[in-house]
Amino acid sequence: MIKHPQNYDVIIVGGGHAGCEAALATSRMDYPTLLLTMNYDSIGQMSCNPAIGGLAKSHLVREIDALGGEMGKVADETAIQFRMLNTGKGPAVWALRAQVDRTAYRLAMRSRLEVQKNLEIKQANVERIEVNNGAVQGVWTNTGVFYRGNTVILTTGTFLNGLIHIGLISYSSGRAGEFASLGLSESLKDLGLRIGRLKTGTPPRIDGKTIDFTKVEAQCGDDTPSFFSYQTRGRKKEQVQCYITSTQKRTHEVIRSGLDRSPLYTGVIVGKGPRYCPSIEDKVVRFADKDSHQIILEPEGLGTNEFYVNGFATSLPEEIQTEALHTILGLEKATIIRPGYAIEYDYVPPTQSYPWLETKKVRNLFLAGQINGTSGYEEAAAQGLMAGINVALRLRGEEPFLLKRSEAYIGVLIDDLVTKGTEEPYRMFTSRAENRLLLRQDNADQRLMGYGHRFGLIPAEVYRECEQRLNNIQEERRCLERTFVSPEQANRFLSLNCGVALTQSQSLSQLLRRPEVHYRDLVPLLPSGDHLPLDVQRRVEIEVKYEGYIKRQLEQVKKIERMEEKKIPPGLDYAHLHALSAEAREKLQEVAPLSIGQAARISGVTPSDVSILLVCLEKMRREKKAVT
Amino acid sequence: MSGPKALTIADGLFRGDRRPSQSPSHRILYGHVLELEAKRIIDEVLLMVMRAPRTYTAEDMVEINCHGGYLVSRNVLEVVLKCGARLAEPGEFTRRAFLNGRIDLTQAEAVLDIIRSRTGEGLRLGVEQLEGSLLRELEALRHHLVQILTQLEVAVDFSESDIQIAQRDMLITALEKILCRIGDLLQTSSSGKLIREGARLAIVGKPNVGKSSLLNALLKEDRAIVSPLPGTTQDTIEEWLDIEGLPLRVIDTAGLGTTANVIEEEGKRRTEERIYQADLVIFMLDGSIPMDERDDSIAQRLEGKKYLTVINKIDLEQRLESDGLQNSKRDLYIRISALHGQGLEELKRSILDAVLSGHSVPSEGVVVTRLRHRDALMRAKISLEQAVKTLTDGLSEEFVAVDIRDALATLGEITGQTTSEDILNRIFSEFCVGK
Repeated sequence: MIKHPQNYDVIIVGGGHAGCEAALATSRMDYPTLLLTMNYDSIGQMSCNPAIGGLAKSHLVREIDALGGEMGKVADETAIQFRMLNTGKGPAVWALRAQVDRTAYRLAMRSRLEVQKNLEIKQANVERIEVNNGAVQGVWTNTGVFYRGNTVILTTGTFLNGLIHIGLISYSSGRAGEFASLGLSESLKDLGLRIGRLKTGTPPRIDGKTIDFTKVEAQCGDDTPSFFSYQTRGRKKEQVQCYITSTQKRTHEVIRSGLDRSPLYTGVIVGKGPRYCPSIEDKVVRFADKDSHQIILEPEGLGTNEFYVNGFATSLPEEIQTEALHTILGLEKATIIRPGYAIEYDYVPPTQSYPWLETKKVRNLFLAGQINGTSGYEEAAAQGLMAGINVALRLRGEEPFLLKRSEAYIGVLIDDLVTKGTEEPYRMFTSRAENRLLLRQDNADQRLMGYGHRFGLIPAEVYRECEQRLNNIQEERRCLERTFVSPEQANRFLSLNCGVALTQSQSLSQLLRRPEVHYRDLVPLLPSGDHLPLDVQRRVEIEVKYEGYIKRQLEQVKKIERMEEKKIPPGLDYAHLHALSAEAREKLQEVAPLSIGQAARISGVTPSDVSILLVCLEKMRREKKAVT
Repeated sequence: MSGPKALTIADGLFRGDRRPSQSPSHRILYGHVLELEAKRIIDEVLLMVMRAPRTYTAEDMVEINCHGGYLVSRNVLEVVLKCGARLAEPGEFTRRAFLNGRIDLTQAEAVLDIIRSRTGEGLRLGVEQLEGSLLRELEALRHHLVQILTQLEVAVDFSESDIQIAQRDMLITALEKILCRIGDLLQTSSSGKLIREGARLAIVGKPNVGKSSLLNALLKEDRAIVSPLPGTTQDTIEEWLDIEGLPLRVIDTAGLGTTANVIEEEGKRRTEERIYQADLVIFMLDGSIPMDERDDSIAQRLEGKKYLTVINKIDLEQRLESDGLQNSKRDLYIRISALHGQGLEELKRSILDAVLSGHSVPSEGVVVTRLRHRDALMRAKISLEQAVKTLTDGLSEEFVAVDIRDALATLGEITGQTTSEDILNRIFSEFCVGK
């Protein structure tokens, strides 16, 4: 038993997406941080799809970037293809997705950690948390070393008691080729935390040399790519192509023939899997009438021939995987480099944590990432960043940093986790946000950069640029409001756009509100001409076009604000509030909401329970006053 | 009304001695409540102005006293809502009174009781009690809207998947169908049978059992002040009762008090008519004499009808053998003395129970519960009209989704169902999405 001589302010266990963001945040906020990882070479490793972003996820990446996190910048640097999705719809739901070089990404992320001041990295396998008087003291590794830390953040991903399944064979592992974390989960149980079990899966990786590219359809990146980070200036690298193909009836037959050896369908797997990321066997069984399912072949990186078979997550036996792949167009001769597999792992149901991600049972112990029951790199990174910021604030003795549901998807994410909990791996969807139109990709800076700057994670120049950008947008909007065009001027170019002709002068704003008109169309009519950068033009257009809807959502937000501001005293014992229904009492006790607003979101708490809670709180307030 | 805008809202619908907002506190104003557009008078009223803080809730309050009667109160309430007020949540007046310090701590438990008791049955029961069919209709509409919303959300959150998404035109058509249905519901809700005509009550029994005494006893306490609706014709005399907010028409009250002078055939014919037309029959017996064949012949005619068996004259020595009476599930023997007013409360309860099929009158009363439905339906209608416009204007799915969600939330106020998890669940069970 050796106690490591140095005391750390922050110890982070696990070097995945959550761990990296947390480590960079706490060290940049000037707290000596130790990152412990079981494998120094897998820091920043993407376990599954070699891609960052996508629907709803790109919103998270932009928010992480606006707060001063790292994921967006590294993704921009190591991406090999950029595509903006949903461009056929309104900008609130546009999403950037980047195919990323898996190896380049983790190396780039690791080098940022290596050069970071205040940050030490060690390879170690943590198996126990040391707690005294209800507060965390440090961690023990499996080689008997004790590291003393004032705060501990666990970002262990899928490694807690990880169990890989391929066919009916299973073995202990945290990710293909890596050890599982054993002992830590039991340590958490000993501390009184409830542990649950989840499952996720990944497809096989195949050798690109064995793909018949003549039989598949190429998918290219955008001509003018957008980037995740507000700080990315541009890049020259070429983009690669992905390839689209699909399964066929024969594929489904092969898969069905293997179901008797599927750990999923024979009930071997206990953990709950994500509905929105079904394995190919799930798809074939549940949607039996579909003749084919789409498959996308994604290159793993520039320096390798390995391809990721998107849409084919599976835990069927290897021989079935191979046979099934051979029935797919273009993959007739494909060879598997790494088989697909399912992995079960422990997680900590997140209603056991506060909104700042500290566990309720153990002081200064924070949890972030998949350990909270989420899935996805972006969801993990967002939590890691928030945990890191809040750990630093705790060490400073300041109030925690919480984001509202109306401020950021990160707010929606964390609120959903701690208020509603989750029984299956939680993934972000835009439909989870009530105020989707306010939480756009484009305005993450407006919503969050101020915070990033306040915490010292966004450099001053970047913040100044942001302020300038926002000023330009407001300026331009005012200009559009004030500039009027005569019907003749307007009709001349409106007729080109098949718009309805005008009979009186209108402001440029009014013109822009028409669905068929875009900012670019108005440039000839602008007094100052084409003077704004493209992204700013886009934002002006968005704000003008959707003003009505945006206003409505802002009003809804205001209504809810009042309930959010009514705070509930911490440590309130709901058992004594007999007027509440039994279910409400139980749920409220478990979640321990901070405000009436949060209480109202708990499932099982009805509007009349909320009414009663208000009366009870007032009653207690007066009783207290009467006594003093 | 209670709240900072109470007086301004009152200004918008009241014409009288002076404007409520300019009246000193604790004054009663005489005037009329007007319909908004046509400016027709709805009722002659007394309006009370009470200014904060010396009011029940400690906020500005306005109280409007109308002539009573079911229809008029409802119309006044509708105008109040149109002018910007919202229906109070169960127990809300008392809750506000408490939170604003007007009710002291010792009464806090009572406040809690009030809130709980008002919501015990829930709004959903209120709908079932009044109109089971409305609930079914709304649930069907809700179901269609959820289907539409699912399509929209799939298009937004899963556009990468190669699935078929409904065309714009199809969505517009589907929404218009729903709007049509809501329009119909709004029409009928103001002219539903129960409201327009009241439940029809008939009092039958052989001569001298005390039918007219019963009628008089009921009318003494529960006569409805509103006169028969314009446009209805009848060649029989009717009386209206208002029992706990439920309107009841006692049909063909002429000749109830006739004695043996009446021609028997005529008497029998009228009895049959009443039974035929009634929603509920009160079958009266004289408890002081044994049953005879006249009782039996009426009893036979009650086959298949909802009826209550009432034994009158319990103040006299009872000589009726009750095993002579038919047994049936819908039978209830209620013992009363119409002359002395005994047992009437129980009778009224039974009448309500029978009309509302075993449920009690919603705690908020029929008028308010009804109005909640109309109010919610109208708001849902507005949201859906907006959705159609958004689709027609060519805006993309996430905007339409905002309006559909609003409509679903509004309908959910009545049916008691919430939306968010539903949609994700539906998406995953219906569409093969995700990678």
